[in-house]
This record gives sequence, structure tokens and C-alpha cells, in this order.
Amino acid sequence: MMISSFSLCLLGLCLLSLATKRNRKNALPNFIKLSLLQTRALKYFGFACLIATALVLAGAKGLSLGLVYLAAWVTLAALTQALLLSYQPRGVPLLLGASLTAAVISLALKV
Amino acid sequence: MSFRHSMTWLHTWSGLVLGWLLYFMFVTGSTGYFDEEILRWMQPEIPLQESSISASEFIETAERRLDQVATNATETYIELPLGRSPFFSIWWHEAATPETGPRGLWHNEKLNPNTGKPVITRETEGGEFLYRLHYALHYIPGWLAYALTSLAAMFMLVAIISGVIIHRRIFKDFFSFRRNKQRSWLDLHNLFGVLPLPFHLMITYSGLMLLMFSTMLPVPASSYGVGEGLRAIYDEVFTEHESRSATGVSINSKPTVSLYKDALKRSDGGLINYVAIKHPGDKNAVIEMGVLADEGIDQHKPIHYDGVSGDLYEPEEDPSEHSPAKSFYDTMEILHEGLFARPLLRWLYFLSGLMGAGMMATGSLLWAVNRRKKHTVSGAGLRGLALVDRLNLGTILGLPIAIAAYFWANRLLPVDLASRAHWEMNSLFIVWGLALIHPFLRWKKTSLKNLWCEQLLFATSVYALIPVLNAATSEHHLGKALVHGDWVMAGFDLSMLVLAMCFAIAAHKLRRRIPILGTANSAAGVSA
Repeated sequence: MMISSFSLCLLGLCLLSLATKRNRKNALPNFIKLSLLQTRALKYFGFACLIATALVLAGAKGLSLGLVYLAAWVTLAALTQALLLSYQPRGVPLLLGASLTAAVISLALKV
Repeated sequence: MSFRHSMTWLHTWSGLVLGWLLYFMFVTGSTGYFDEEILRWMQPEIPLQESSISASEFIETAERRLDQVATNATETYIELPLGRSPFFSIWWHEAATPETGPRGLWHNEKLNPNTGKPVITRETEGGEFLYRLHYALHYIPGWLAYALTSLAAMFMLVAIISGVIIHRRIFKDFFSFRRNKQRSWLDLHNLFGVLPLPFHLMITYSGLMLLMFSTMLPVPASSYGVGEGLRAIYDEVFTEHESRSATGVSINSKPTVSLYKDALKRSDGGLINYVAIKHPGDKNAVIEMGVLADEGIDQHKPIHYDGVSGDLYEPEEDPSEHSPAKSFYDTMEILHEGLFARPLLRWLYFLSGLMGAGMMATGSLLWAVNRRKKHTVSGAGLRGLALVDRLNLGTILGLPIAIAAYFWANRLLPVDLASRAHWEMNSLFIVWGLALIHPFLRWKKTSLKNLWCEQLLFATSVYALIPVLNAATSEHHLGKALVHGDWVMAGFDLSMLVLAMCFAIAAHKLRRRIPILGTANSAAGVSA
């Protein structure tokens, strides 16, 4: 379940980064002004993905090792996001799509 | 002064006062996560395992050797080259005598995985030296080193907590790194601090806790006294309790290989990477099979056998092991050392450690940049700041260069040199000293930016040439290691190339992007 947990973590952080106006401006070719409700939805989905990551990891590795992996995954995924937003911000929507696809497939395959 | 302002002051000074020591601790501590791999590279005499030898054959070979050398051993230990460990080695413990000392003596021998014969390796401390440096430092007494590193860890903990308080937009700026802006250094400092925040908190708190018996001595001393009383309580808490004592009655033990095969079946395909025999040849012998744990943060889930009957044996549990305080201490120790971590998690530990080093480095640079702005406005002298700038350079780049020098010394010093391991360690500090002096020798001739470029290019060269040095001084060159799947040797060389690439990119970016603002006294070369 390592691939699915990392994909979920990456997806969660993509959603959270797009929930902020500055990142959305840089990442999307046509800046979309979102309503407060839509911004909140992005945030809630983002946090839900992070909670799902924790649950998947705790199920696969046990609570103690699962939490260690969660901290590691969040660090790695956030670093990826930060690098992308700094050097290739237009890549964020692509990463969002890729991580969503990877999360669905890997969860179905239980890998 | 508002609460946030007072926290900003606290954050700045708690991070700055021992900032260079903390940087040193982060860098050397991070290398410690690969101590065995570094040792393997630093002992190129150990041959590559060329034939497919089964673990059973390894055990038989090791036992034959132990029969020759460990006739009076109270405990023997066979380390198999499986899992993370790249070594096939044997250990044996001799009982306490006037010659072996009050705790007895452990002996170690590395064996050739192809022939089973002992391998004579060069004298080196390997990665263990780098690991020890991060808490025991060097050239100073242990108590002073523990006090200094504990104090630094305490300052770090204060800096982390105050940093979280003052970071008003911690979530909004979570991913922010605004390049080529006034805030670049601050963004970078925040990124390195916030992304691995759980790691920073864990490593600092646990580090502080692991040294508490040295730094907070009055607490246990008030309950147990000093001297013998304190020693007794340490032994009770930290020494592994023997569930069975030797009887002195000799009897033939069950063949270890058959027990190994049984343990393999019970471990559901788990790897067994050590076999330990307590009281070998005694009626109360116990054989322990070290099954690598798949779950949880314990490194092993050992299976025990009665050495004579071969039946499964459950050692009596030590009640102190289950006290909440001891369990918490053990968990923190395990998390700090990361011994349970498989390769991917180990790399992430290493990466988080390097980000900690980056946080300290950017913090020191940020302080200098902000100070320079204030001095420019006030028109005050820059002499003190110039000193900090040069020490920043000598510390931040000098340390990685010095670590590379340690690897170079390992291959260039004569193998039969007396106190060879000490000279390897001395090389590290000699080169670091030179890197610290370099900016002072050239500060009137060139700008600070050029000084950074010079050290970055030098770091690039020394790291990029390490694989060449390896090829020239051993049989394990990168090509051969890759072909044979020797990932420890190949991984080391490739890591050196990646580090060289990072230094080269930094040099290139520095040369291209940051304007030269005059010679050294302008001291402005590294501000972005």
C-alpha cells in the first residue's frame, strides 16, 4: 500500500496548494476565481486525502511505523510540491491528475 | 515588546548562538544513517560475494571458524550478509577476567563470503566515526561534548517552538519559495524548517532525552546517589537481563542450521540476518534467530530455541521493560536512530536530516543578510559581519569538504600506517581547518561571492572524483558494482556524484544570478 498512500498524500497536498490564491494564480493557465465554498471544498478534500493516507499507512504498517511513514511521505510530497511551484508551477495540475489516477489504480490493486 | 516580537528575538538568538554546532550535528548525524554502508566502502578489502552461497552454508562456515577461535566464548554471534548489513562476520564474547576487564571482551572478525576465510581489513572507524561525531564531538572529553550537544539540542528545541509561534502564515506559506526575491533566504529557511517539522521535533527532543543521563545527572543522583548506587541502577535499567545462566555442564547443542531452517518456516519468508548463541556448548544454551521485522518500529522479531532440545523457548520477560517510562525512552531511541528503517525510509531520514542542516545554514545566512541591511542603513562598520560571513562559508561548505577529505584519506593513507584510523579522523579536521582559513587568506583579494564559488567548485571536484579514487584504489569500481548488483558500493559512488552535481549547480547559480557587489569588505556576495 506504499504507492497508494504516497499518491493520496501527493493528491492531498496538490489540493491544499491549489486552495491558496497565490498558488492557483501561478499554477493554472487561466486563473479561476473560486468562491469561498469552493476553496473550502479544496481544503477539506485535501485534508481528507491526508487522513486517508494516515489510515492506509496505519493499516499496512501498524500505527507506530505508519505514523513514521506519514511524516516521511508528507515531507517528500511537500518538497515535490514546493519544487514544482517554484520552478514549474504549470506542472501542478498535471501532478494532481497523475496522483489522482495513481491513487485510484493503486488502491484498486492494493499496492 | 509584544509576545510575537519576544518570540522572534528568542528564535533568532536560540538558533544563532550554537547554529554552527547544530549544523555540524545535523550533517554528521545524517551521515550516521548510512554508517554501515560507509564502513563497507571504507573497507574495500572485503570481496564481493560472487557465488550464490545459501544462508545455511554461511552459518556452517561461520560455526567452523568460531570452533577455532571462540573456544571459551560465553556468547557467539553470526552476522549474515542479508538485509541491510553488507558484512559476513562473527562476534564472540569472552567472560570477565583480569585480562578482559570487568565486562569481558567482544571480538569481531569479518569473513570472506566466498571462502569463509578471515579478511584482514584496513584500520578505519568508517561511518561510525561520523555518527559519533554528532553527539560526542572529537578532541574534547565526553562529558563536555555531551554538555555542548545537549545545550545545542535544547536551544534547537526552543528555536523550533518559537519558530512555529512566529511563523504567522505557516499553512499559507507551506510550499512557498519565492526565487530571486528579497524573501528567498527566509522562504528557504521556512521550507527546510517546516516540511520536515515532525522529524525536527522528534530528533531534537529524543536527542536531548538520550543524553539526559549525562546532562541531568542531579535528578537520578538525588534518588540513587552517585558512584556505585547510580551504576547499579544504570545496569539494572540498561543491561539486557539474562533469562538463563550457564550451568557449567557441557553438552552438545542442536545443529544451528536445522533451527535456522525451522525459523525460516516460522517467519513467513522473513529474512534472518543474525544467529546468536548464548552459553554455547552449555546445558542452558539458547539460540536466537534474528528475523527482520516487517511491521512496527522494532528492527527484529527474534525467535528463541533451547540450544539442547531445539524446542521453542520463550525468555522470561523483564518487568522493567514494560514500565511506561522505559517504553517511552526505548521508542524515542529507536525513532532517533532509525535502525528499523528500510532503504526508502532511511533515505527519507537522511533527506530530513540534510534539510535540518539546510535550515541551520540558511538561518545563519539569513541573519547575516538582515544584519547587512541594518548596517547599510545605519552606516555602521561591517568588520564583525565580515567575520561571520567568512565563518559561515568555512562552516557550511568546509564541513562537507572535510567529510570528503575523510573518504580520500581512507584510500590514500598507507594501509599499514600506525594509528591509521586516527589519521583519517585528523584529516577531516585538518581539511576543515584549511577551509575555515581559506576565506580569511583571500578576503582582500576577491569578493565573498567568488570565495563561495571557489569552495563550491572545490567541493564539486572532491566529490566527483571519489568514484575515480575508488576505481584507482580498489577492485570495486562503479561499473563492476553496477554489473554485480553491489548496491552498497555503487550507491556510495552514485551518492558522491549526486552531491558533486548539487555543489556544481549551486556554483553555477551563484555565479550567474547573484551580482558581484565589490570585494570582500562589501560582504554582500551571498545575499539574494
